Amino acid sequence: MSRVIFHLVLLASFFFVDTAWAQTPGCQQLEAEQKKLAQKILASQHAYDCCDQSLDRCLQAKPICALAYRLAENICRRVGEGQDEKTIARALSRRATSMMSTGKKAVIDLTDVPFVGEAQAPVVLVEYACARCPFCSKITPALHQAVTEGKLKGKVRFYFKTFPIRSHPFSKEGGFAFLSAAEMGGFWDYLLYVYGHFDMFCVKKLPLWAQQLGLDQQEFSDRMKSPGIRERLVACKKEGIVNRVDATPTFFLNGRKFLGDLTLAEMIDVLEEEHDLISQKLYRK
Amino acid sequence: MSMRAKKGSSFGGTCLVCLRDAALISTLASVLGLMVNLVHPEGISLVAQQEYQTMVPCPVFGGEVQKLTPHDPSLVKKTTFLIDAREASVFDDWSLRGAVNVTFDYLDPTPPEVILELAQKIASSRAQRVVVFGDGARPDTGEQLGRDIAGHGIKNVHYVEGGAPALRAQKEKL
Repeated sequence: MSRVIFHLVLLASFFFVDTAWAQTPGCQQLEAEQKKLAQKILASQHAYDCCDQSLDRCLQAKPICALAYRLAENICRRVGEGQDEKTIARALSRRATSMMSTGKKAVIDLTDVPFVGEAQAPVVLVEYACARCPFCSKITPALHQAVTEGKLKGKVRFYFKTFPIRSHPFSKEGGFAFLSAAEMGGFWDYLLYVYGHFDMFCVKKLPLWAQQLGLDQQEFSDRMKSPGIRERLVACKKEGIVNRVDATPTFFLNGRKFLGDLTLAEMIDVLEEEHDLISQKLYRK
Repeated sequence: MSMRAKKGSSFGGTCLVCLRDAALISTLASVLGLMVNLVHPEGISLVAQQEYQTMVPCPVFGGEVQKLTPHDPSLVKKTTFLIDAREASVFDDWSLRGAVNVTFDYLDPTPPEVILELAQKIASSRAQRVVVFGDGARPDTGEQLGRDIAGHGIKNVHYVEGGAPALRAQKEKL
């Protein structure tokens, strides 16, 4: 009799654990082997806010800690993408360091810096990027879309600061063009156009592209050559160096340098997490 | 004459055989590779499924540098090679004796010929360390130029905290 009860309890515990951890949509989609790995990671990783236990236990508690749920989804997504345990643990550690950083916040001058998103949005995202950085040409338009019409709409204000990488040919000219477009009120359209035509970049084309977007070509050319634009670009570069920008793109979330994975999914996830934190949405309804 | 013609035709024949064999081996190897790829569960798709993307951040070029105080004794040693990273006009106004001027620019990379000339001068001076000093501002051009030249393979590079203004103040104090 006692053996039967023992087996029933054992069976019930497996069922309980499975239903507890599989509540997130991303985790439910995993295959059996992937579920095992995800479960192992969920049992070894901890949320850095709103729950002191391991993630699998946090998911069983009521109300469910929103961060634990978010991190569980993140882990299952990574497992689904084929990442191994060490890679996932490292990524989570970098993310925690970025989100929990209590050090001095970066001093970023946002005067006259172009931004997208609602002016009252509580999360301030600043990107330092180079006009000739291939990675920036992909992630910046994707983030722009997320902020203007995607998941981050109303949550994030997205600022762009030009940070030319000296070893990139024509990064300086690209920077002059970005700042000229900003001064003429056509920054985001111009940036998206230049990044969209990344492989066709040519210094001579920069004023022509501005003209195609409705900016005055002659004025644009004159601004690109003006000492004032050069000074502004040098100032942007110096500020980036002081803020320890050592690669492009580098992101700052409400003044904290983001050290996590630079993928669109991860960026959207951490920006939503920051928004939840500011809005005091610590627990899931 | 006939002997030469015979040799020529023999050489041509050998070339043709070599080419035929090479083509045969290449074809067989390609077919074998395609078959293995076809059977392999994680075989490479022959047509790209999605657009190729370079998703790697672009690092700022540079190497490691060490910080020195303006009163560090190594600054006056003969085995130290001094570089002034400030603009030529301020370099002409004041600098440390023996310092070489290489102006650092935040937007333009240091020209390769300047780096090469500098490397040759450092090598011929038999210096054991390189010390760069700049405007002492935040960020400091000395530190930035130091990182730049260290990134080009020049070893044992240092920069002076506070740059030229701190060095000048130190000299005047003495």
